Amino acid sequence: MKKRDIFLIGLLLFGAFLTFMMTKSDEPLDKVTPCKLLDIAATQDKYISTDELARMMMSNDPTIVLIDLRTKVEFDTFSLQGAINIPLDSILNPEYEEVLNQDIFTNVLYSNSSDMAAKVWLISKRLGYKNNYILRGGLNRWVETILRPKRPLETAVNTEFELYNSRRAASYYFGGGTVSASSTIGDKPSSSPFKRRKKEAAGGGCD
Amino acid sequence: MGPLFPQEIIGEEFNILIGFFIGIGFGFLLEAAGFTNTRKLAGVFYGYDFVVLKVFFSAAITAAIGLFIMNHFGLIDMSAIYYPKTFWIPTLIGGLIMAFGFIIGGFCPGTSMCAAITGKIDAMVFVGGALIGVFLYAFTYEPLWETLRNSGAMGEVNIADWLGIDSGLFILLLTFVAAAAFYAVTIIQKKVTEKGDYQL
Repeated sequence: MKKRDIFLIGLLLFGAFLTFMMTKSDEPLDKVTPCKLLDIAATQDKYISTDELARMMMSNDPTIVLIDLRTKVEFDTFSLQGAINIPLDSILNPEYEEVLNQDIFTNVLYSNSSDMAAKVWLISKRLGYKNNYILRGGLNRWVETILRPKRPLETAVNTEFELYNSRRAASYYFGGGTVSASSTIGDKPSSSPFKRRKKEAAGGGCD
Repeated sequence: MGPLFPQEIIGEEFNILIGFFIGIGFGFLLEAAGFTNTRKLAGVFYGYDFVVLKVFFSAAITAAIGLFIMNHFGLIDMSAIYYPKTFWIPTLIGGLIMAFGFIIGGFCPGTSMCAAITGKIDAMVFVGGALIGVFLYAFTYEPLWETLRNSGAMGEVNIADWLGIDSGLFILLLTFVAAAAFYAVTIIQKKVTEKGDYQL
């Protein structure tokens, strides 16, 4: 090996050692202080919109887990397709811990509105759990926007019509019953009519 | 302060512009390092030239060390960095397909583009083949590939978390492995080139 090679490898090893020493002194992630919790609570990325959820469900995303926080009676009456029921009062039951505390699936918490989900989300953050999200607006918003979307005014901008059309397709998919027989939409709605999240554009491969 | 784009410090257009210039720099360096030569890339598999392995291994480690040091000093927020979810079965299959393409064609996607721009006809054919593959995959995705694509979901994982060790420790171990690999391939390369069968 040339001297230059040995020098460069030495440099890498030095850097790696430095990294090792630094991450050792960093605070462990599972210790959430109240100040940190406030920072986390102030962020907006704890929410998933109904449109995003519909897109993920329609593209059969296998990593989505829907968690219904209402009581068993309400859950049995109506719930989202594939949801599991964890009533709010039994959220700390050890039986459900492995559902909430994991790093594989994306948990979407919902109730009739967002407030129960927000409570559970806060508890889960305090415990240091990851991957729990709140369905913004809950089931009420789901019905309003996905199952029974309202037609925008004729004067509305184009993007609103596009959103309305994709919601109508989603409504058809989820059986919202707003699509009449004369509708021009085909048998199967396109699998992902929604715009991808901005964040995903930043991803990339090695070369 | 970073990452710039996910925190909306810079806009989408500027983000793409930065990517554009980094891409030009990447292509320039690939060409300057001789990576547009298929023999150099194939050399890894025949044992007479290990530059590719050294470059990508040290690039990965340099990036990891850089990111973690910047994270430590608050220059970048690692938790805001996007990385894709892991689906291990399709990744394994895709990796195998890519490896075969690498040996048979002598290019990886990046170097094939560079080589095509420098006028190498085999690289142009390679890029054409890659495009045909991309379109075939896209148009047959739903009936043929969707189940496979979604199999083996592991979520957003990194190896250090998965092994349950510290990220810093993992980088240190990986660097030791890299140093040992660099030393080993130098010996292999010396033995093979001494026989004099291969020349760039």
